[in-house]
Amino acid sequence: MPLQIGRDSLAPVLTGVAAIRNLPPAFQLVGIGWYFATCIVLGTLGGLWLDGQVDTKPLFTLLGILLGMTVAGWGAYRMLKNVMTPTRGGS
Amino acid sequence: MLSKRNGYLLLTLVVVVVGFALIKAPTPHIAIAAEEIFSLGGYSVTNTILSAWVVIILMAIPVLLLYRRLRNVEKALVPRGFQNVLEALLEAFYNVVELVAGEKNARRFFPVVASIFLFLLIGNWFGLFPWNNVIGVTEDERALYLHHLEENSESLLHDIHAATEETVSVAALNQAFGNVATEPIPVEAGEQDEANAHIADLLAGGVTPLDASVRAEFTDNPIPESTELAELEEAIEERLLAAGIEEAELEHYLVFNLPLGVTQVDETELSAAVISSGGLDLIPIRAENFEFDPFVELIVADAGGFNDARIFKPADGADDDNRPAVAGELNLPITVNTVHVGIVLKRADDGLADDEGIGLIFPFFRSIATDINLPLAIALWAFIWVQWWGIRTLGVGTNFGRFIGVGDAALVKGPVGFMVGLLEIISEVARIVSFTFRLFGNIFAGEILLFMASFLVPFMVATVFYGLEVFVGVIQAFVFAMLTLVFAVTAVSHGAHDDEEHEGEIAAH
Repeated sequence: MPLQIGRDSLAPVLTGVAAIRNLPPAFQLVGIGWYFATCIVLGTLGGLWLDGQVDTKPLFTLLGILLGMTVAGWGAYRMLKNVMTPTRGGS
Repeated sequence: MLSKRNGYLLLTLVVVVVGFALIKAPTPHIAIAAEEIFSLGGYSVTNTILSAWVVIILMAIPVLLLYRRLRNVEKALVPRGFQNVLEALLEAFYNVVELVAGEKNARRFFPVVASIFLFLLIGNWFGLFPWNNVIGVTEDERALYLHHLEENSESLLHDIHAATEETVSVAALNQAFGNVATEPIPVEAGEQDEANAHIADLLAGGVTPLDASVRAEFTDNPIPESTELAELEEAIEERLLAAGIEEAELEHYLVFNLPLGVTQVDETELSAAVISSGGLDLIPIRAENFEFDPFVELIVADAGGFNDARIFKPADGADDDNRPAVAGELNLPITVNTVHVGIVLKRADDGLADDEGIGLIFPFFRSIATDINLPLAIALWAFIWVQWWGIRTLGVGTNFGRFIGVGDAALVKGPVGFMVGLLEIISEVARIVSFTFRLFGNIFAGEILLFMASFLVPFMVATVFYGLEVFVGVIQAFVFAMLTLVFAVTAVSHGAHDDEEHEGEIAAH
């Protein structure tokens, strides 16, 4: 019998998501800062590592930062959209 | 029992206080000039130029994507999503431009004015994101200081001459270069052992092939006594190049790096001067332990002010122009670079360990308007466009007649008109200056405000100032664009007759 994931097993996750959605918008976006910083830091570290491998400082570091910026920006846009868009059945 | 709202407020307060009490951010280093990140074939790319390129790409990509969409006319007629937002923004801005300039002029002014507005808006907002001013290249402060000294060597040669009011002793120069040690002692944190070994080697009489080559050049082909101060630098450079010194490294050996013949050196004192406990300071006492060829006085600089140079007088008694080495004295052939570095490496005790240094960060990205070159460039660009529109509308004679007070465009007729024309010229130049400093001052001051706010209270409080800077970014971009528009409208007007026409157009809207 294939594994079935029912609503019961997802209950804790759904409750958690619902709980987050019940927070004021400012607190829903507390994570956005961490997300931004993580993307930029990971991009920078990745770029630094690549530069260390091929000795092209600071080319890949800059590209890593730019990639981190792009991912951070896109993710922040999605997060903001989720906060700004009303939930189904809610106000 | 606290309400939810009060609970959140209390949590915020706790975070702010904990941050203020426990977390100490590094002292911000404010640099007015933009820092170079890399060079492209001799062209210096600073962090603000890099940011400007990213801003241009950020502006270009949506435009290119929209352009592809707009080729499908049916889809383009019903805008949605980003196209809708952009159209709304541009239409609102166009309405403002039309209100000020009139329908006829709005069409030709709008592309330039809107470009200035959008570029500055996106650039100012780009400068508020967290990748600015935090990620970059770090350099040891002392190594950076050396680089700064070398760059300023030429001007300081003249300062030395002015301060001493004596001519440089050419014979002493020949003697000093005839005893030079070209390899500078390591100065960065963590290089103490290497520096010790190097000094020991110098004291033991170690001579590299390059040292020997330079020494031979100045011994066999000394600089003539009659050489004037103005030609001295060239004479030194010529011999250094002949000895095999790379052209890019010539400035190492000039002015600050004029080698001195040092006598009566106490090894312990020299070691202590060079190998500090990680500090930078003036050591006048140490300087008195050295006796220098008096044609050049020892130049040191304050750790806090790299632009200052203080001239120490040689130790008392050293008043001969050409002091020969005395038997029994140790003649230590080290360059001024080395000695100078040795002295300025001593800093007031700040708790640094021996292998620690102070790093200065040169960030990869910085807000574009914090580099005065950008506001100046846009101001000049606006000036050129305003003059071009004036010429296109009024003709060359009438447009420039305004500045010399003759012809139809003269604001005041007669001889007084000439003086008024001169004032018009001053007014045009003053506009460029005011454009530049208005934008630069607001954005640069805002950035310093953000630095200070983040330095003082690491969490939360800076949010208020970020909100302010978002607003300032919009306002400054709008003001720049609107003033350009107003000056353009003024430039294409013929005078009272056209002012009445123009007022009619505004009233009609």
